[in-house]
Amino acid sequence: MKATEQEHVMIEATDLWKVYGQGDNRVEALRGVSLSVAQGEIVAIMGPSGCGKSTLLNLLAGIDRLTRGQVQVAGQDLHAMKEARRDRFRAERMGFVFQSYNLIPVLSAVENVELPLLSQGVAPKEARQRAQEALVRVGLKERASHRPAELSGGQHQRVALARAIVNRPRVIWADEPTGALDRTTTELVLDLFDHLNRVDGITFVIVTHDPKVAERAHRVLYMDSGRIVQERVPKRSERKAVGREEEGGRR
Amino acid sequence: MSTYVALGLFGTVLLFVLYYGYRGRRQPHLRRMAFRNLGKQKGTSLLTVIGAMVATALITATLLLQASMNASQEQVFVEQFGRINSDLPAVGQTELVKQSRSYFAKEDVETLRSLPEETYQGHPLYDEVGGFLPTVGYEALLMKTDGAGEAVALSPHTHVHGFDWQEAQTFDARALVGAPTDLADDELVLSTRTAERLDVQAGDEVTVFDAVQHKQVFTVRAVVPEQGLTGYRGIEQAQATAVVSLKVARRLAGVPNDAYTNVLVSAKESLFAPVAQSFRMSSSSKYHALLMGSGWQEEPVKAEAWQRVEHSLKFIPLFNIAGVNAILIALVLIINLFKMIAEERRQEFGILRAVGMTRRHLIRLLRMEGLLYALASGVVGALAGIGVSYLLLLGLRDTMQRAVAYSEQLDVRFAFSVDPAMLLIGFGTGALLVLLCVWFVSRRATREQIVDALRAADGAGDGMAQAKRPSLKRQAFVMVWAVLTAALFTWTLTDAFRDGLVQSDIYLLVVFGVGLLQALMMIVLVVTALPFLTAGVQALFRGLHGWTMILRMALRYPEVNRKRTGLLITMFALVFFLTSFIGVFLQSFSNYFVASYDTRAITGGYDLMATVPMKTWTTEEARQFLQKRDDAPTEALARTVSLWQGTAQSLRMIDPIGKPIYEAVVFNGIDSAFAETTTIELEERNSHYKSDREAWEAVAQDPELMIVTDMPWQNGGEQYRVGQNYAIRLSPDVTVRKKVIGVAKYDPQSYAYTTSYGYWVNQQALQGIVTDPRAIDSVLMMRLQDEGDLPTVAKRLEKSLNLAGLFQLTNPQAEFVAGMSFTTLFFSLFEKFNLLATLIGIVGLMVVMLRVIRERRQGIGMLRAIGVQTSAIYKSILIEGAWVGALGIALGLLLGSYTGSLLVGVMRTGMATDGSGAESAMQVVFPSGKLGLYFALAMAVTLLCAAIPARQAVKLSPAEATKYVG
Repeated sequence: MKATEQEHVMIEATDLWKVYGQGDNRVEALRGVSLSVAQGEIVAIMGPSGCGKSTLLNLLAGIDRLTRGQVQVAGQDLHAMKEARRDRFRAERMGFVFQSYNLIPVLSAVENVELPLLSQGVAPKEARQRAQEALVRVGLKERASHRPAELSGGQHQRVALARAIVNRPRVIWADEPTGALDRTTTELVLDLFDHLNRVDGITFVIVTHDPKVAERAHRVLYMDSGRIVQERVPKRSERKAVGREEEGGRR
Repeated sequence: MSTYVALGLFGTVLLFVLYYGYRGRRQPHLRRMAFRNLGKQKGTSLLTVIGAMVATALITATLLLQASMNASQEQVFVEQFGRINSDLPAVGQTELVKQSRSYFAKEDVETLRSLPEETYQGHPLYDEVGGFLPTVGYEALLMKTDGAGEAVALSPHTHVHGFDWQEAQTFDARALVGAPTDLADDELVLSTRTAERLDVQAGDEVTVFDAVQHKQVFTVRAVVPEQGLTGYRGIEQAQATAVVSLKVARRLAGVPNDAYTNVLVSAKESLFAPVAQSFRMSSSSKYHALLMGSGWQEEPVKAEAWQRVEHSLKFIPLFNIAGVNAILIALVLIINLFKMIAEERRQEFGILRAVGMTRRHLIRLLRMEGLLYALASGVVGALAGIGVSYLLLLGLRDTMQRAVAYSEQLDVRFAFSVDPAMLLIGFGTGALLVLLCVWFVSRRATREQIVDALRAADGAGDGMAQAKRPSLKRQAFVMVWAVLTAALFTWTLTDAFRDGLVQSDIYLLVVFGVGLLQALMMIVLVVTALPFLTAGVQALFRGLHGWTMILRMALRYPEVNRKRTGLLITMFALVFFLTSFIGVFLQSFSNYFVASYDTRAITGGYDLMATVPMKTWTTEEARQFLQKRDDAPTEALARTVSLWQGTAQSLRMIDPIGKPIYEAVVFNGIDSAFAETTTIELEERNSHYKSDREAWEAVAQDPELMIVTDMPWQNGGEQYRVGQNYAIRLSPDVTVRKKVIGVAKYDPQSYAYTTSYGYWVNQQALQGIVTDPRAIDSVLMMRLQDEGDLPTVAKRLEKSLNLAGLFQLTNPQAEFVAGMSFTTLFFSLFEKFNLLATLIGIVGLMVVMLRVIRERRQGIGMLRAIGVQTSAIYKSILIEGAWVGALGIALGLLLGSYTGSLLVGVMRTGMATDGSGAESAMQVVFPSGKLGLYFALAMAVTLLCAAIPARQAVKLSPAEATKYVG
């Protein structure tokens, strides 16, 4: 389950264990998962409910505590950092997209987007400018001053995506990003992911149930009972990879 | 009455319990859900109970405090009066004076007994008189001595009396339970209080000073509880009681055999007339009228004592205002809490509706939960109320006791008692308040369409989170509201407002009402203007980049959730409105009294006054008396004057059946020494006299002249005029006339000192008006060399006078201080009590914030996930709580202070109209230090309480963000 050696590794997870409870109530959510993700790669994680997908994502992103193991993101041991340092690291290098969007209902779209920047101490004026740029990139320039309650589900997720990219992250973690969206909106959001991956080289780790989402990934990891049980490269990605190689050969 | 209210309230709660108990049996799933919902969120359930409980505790404490005071007050009447309603003293009775007697004979008692039958046979009032008991009594000094005869304990002001035991049994059998009936000539019975003062018990010896200050030694035969005759303090309002045999009483008081000094009158016992209040049933005043018609004068001692106690405890009902305030705050808090609970569970309701539950089921479920909250908070609140009222009484007890003793000469021992009726009222009121709020909220909460409720979690259903662009109608409403608020404010600034209110008897209530209305209008305006305030605060901190996000997060939630914010602000504002209103009023009022109170101005130039009963001492005799006493501080006295004071029965009218109606009028007899030294100013005098002093001198010399105080109510509503020949009708046939040569100014502050106002005549002239010499007292008026020595001189003089058998030393300065300290302490306690209501606000805010954290769990998780520091989240929650608290506290303090100043302004205007010039001393004083301290303390506690939810917020894992609840 490793990225090819010649590629630069962005995420390196080794022997991850997550155990809840003790004694009879002991539940092993993750059982010695190891994986690596290359920079600029889109990895989808699939599997049945309760197999540990979201737990794995939380541990990789450093928003939940490990029972055992190690996670390195961009060469930094995430769980060895102190909490404040880890918070800063996330604010500077990562973006998040959630199924339930998690927009702050009392803030407008642009105010939601500029939150990560303000929390890093970016000057409000600059933060606003960058937030507006991010909204332009997700096609929501006109909706900047609207509050979440006035936006549709797809628009919610695009605002969430704008918030995720506003700090120019290296990795975006997406947990069921299209779970609450219709087919058309799902395509729109996935196109945005593709675009950001291609243009900005952002690494995506996406937890999903949707095979259509997985089809757009470079690599799909299947999980069951807290372990990665299978890995495959979707056909579409194979074709693209071949295409890229041929293109490279012609040059 | 209170029992019926208690039963009514408790019965209503019980009905709810029975109804929902029945429903719970029929629909066990609802019962299970109600219990489990409370159990599931133990923390928030507990906080909700605490919020509602504080209100119940305050209401219960208010009620219990008043009930304890009333019970203590009633106990005084049981102990010191029993069935005694009124007292007819022999001294001053016109009928006896006619016969040149100062005592009742047996025939007089028989006359009194048969009087109503003879004159008003069949009159219903006569049936209310229970019985008559002739007694012999006087005020004495009792002393406990050591082996060498030196005094080791004193009991001055002790009413020593004797009566026929058999007659007494008929008069009030309960009073003599435990008292021996066969007292020997050298034995006496002491009340427990007297025994306490002397530190003696049965078998010990006690020295009693007789009426001519000779010592007589008695053995204490028994110490009995005070219960009417054994605790009666006499007309002279003594401080302790001793009982001797009738024969010994006559010997001690210097009264002839077969004579009596007093006749006590009792009320008939009735099932519906408790002992303490029997005088109300017996219409003592009506009996008083009966006696007046016959020429006999009685003192309705119990009714007068009741009035005095009521007078000194007149502030107590103010605690009701605090109670009502607590109820209002509690209403706001509980509605807020249940609205939040309903809001949090919208989705759950949607699901329940979708699976087939009706609206009625949901309402029932919410109300069952409400009932559980109501019962829990009611019980805990009522129990906490017992503790609060106990602490309050502990704080007030001693000062009140001193104040009542000083100002009203009544020995009331305030004891804590738990009145079950009041406890039930507290519990019932608190529980019903919760039920009322739940009733209101449950209907609204379940009105929503199922689909909207199910969409609650995605934010679309949260109406408050939508950016509301004010409609034209709304903008117009806000404008009109602002104009109305401004108009009301402007109106209160005008003279017309103050002048109009001065005429009203209920101006205090009106001012308070207008102030409260203004406060509520301002709250609406502030809540409406929150976006501007928020923007202003953010603009202030624009330069601090790190704070932009924190402030935005902190201030935006209150701005968007306006209803919730409005309710929280109202809670805080109500508490601090009342606190600062009382604070400003009290400070201004105290300053006014302190600034305008001058003992010497009020008493005519003296510092101390000692009454020598039934003696007509000249000034020279008075000075010699003091000189002879080694222990009297004569060196500290600059001057001593003896003023005579006597009460004459002046004929007021002849009633329709031809009986003369008399009234008691007090006359002051003066001599040259008084005239030379008095500082009482005349506002009008005969032009023949060049100065006030000359006029006073003329009265002191000439028995035909008189000076009167400008008190029209004593002259049938007519103004006294210089030159008028004032007629004193002593009987239908005898009229004494005096020429008025001066009218003295009346100072209302001198009300308690009868030597400073009334009628002044020459001392010889007084003896012509008050023909019974025993009805004239000498009042020794003393001025000190140095006013600063007053406390020590007064103490030494009191001891010296007591040893001489004189017990009535008046120290106006000490009385004023006692009265003021009581008033100040009372109001400051009231302030503190009211501040307890702040607890409701703060606990309410904390509970709301804790629930808010639950609401925003995912959002906070997301903030943590995207790297927002925990300190930033912590600060934003803290600031959010402080912002709402600060707005409410500041609004309350400002508007309460303003309303307090309005009240002072109205009082000032009222003073200006009477032309006394007193208004110059009445200035609005803002206790800025105290109010600032209250603000700081309240803010500190608010921050501490907001820190709890803030800490909970930062403990949330960022992984919360990935939990999908949609």
